[in-house]
Amino acid sequence: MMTFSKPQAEGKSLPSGFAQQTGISLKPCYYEQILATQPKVGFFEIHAENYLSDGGPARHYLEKIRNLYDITVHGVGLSLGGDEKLNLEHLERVARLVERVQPAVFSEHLAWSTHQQYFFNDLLPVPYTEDRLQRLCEHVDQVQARLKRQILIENPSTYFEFCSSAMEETDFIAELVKRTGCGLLLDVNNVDVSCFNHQRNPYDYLRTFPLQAVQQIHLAGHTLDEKAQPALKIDSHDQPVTTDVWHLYQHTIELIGDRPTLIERDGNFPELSVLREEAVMADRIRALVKEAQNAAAI
Amino acid sequence: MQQQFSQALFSTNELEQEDLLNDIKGHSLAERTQRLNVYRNNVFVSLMEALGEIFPVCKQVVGDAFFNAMARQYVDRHPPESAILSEYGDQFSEFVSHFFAAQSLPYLASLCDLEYRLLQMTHSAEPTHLSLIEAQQRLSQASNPEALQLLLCSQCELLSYPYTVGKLYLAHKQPQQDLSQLQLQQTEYLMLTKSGLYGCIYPLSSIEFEFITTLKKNPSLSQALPESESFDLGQTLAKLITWEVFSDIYES
Repeated sequence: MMTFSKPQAEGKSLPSGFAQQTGISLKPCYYEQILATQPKVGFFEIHAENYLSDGGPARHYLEKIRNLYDITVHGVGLSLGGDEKLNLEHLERVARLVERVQPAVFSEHLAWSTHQQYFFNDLLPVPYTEDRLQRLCEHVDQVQARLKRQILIENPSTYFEFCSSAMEETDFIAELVKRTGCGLLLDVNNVDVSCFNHQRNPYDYLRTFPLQAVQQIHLAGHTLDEKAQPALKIDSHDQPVTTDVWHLYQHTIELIGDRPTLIERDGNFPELSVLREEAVMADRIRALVKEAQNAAAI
Repeated sequence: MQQQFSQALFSTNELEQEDLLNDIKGHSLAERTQRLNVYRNNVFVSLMEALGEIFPVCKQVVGDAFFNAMARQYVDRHPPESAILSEYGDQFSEFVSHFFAAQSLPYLASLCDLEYRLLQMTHSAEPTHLSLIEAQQRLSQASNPEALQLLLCSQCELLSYPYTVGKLYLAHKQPQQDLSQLQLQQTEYLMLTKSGLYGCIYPLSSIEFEFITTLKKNPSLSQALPESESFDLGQTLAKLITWEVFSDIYES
């Protein structure tokens, strides 16, 4: 079995870990460069489903990069919001990955992606009803029990709302936290995208969000479909983080204090240095907020 | 709800989408449909892109538009059954063999089969194998060559195609290659194995193919030797040693 050594925190000029510095999505096009240049970033995040093979480059490079950096694992295929029972075979494979990698956190989505035997490769929305909440809680409990750790659940980006929803998204998430003890991954870009698509105020959304449970933040870019009527923001993860999202991010950490942050990118990959610049930008905002809060405390 | 949603993702029939559309907030049917279509589009485009990454040479051969038309139909008929997308496309070759517009490219299904097997080989565990030097030593130290047992790595796959899709694949991996002289309609024998982290292809002659196929079933060298005079044992063993495909060599 492949084993990972822990990141070296002291004695060498290696990057600091998950909590201190902003991380970047780990993608194959960056493997060699990361190993050659060891960029100063806090951690790398992987999509669990891309690292479940028995061999090959993904597994090989993950092992090497894990020996240098903290890793976070982000699941995209457990379908926690699904009607049906979890796919136990898939959960086992994810659990074995988590055991091997020992990530700083494991996160998944408030969404579903599987129905009957089919996987749709998208994060599909759930109506906010008591039935759905109960099912989701059962799934989160089951995953936490198998992984033997608290998991984080990410707020969704959505393109429509259900008439059948009986509660607000933020109340639904707060109840999920209360019933399962899970933590939250706050995707600030998702807040911006969903609020735009549903003509809501993202700052109001944050005011009602259970912020005390947030243990990680995602920042990403989106695209705007102006031809749509009304226009829709699409959570594409293939663009730089927008100014609106940076402002919302600063506001978020002013409210809750510093949190581990990820620059998430899943397409249209730029040079690694471009993502690193975005990570540096996030670190600068984190430092400024911390400084201001320290000054206010004095 | 998820039954209706799943149906709506794969149907353009408004009647089949009706229940779900009625549960979507929006000022008009057009708006509700547009919002639902974002998900439909995400599902199809992301899966078509995934197929493009799994079958890159097929995509290069037929062009983006043709490939996307094929991929869209495949996604519609065969959505993935696993969240691990590198495993998606196991029926693509079969699908392509019946795809009407691809009938003028009869080698395409074989090419897709080869690409899929190569990718699965890449994602399989790295085999334990004898290094070139270890294999050479074992052979040179053998006191009785007739008693030699040559064990091939379990991952080694032997394939025979009615078209030279291995050559076509390799040519597309080398952008400067002149494809105009490539004779496609010819039986091709290949060995697929893992070289380092990646699946790779080695071309074989028919007699080498016969020899290695027998060796795979029974590792006894003396029993695997073909009767044909055209078979060159020294040259074939030299190739196999260089490709590092032996897991063990010993005398029985």
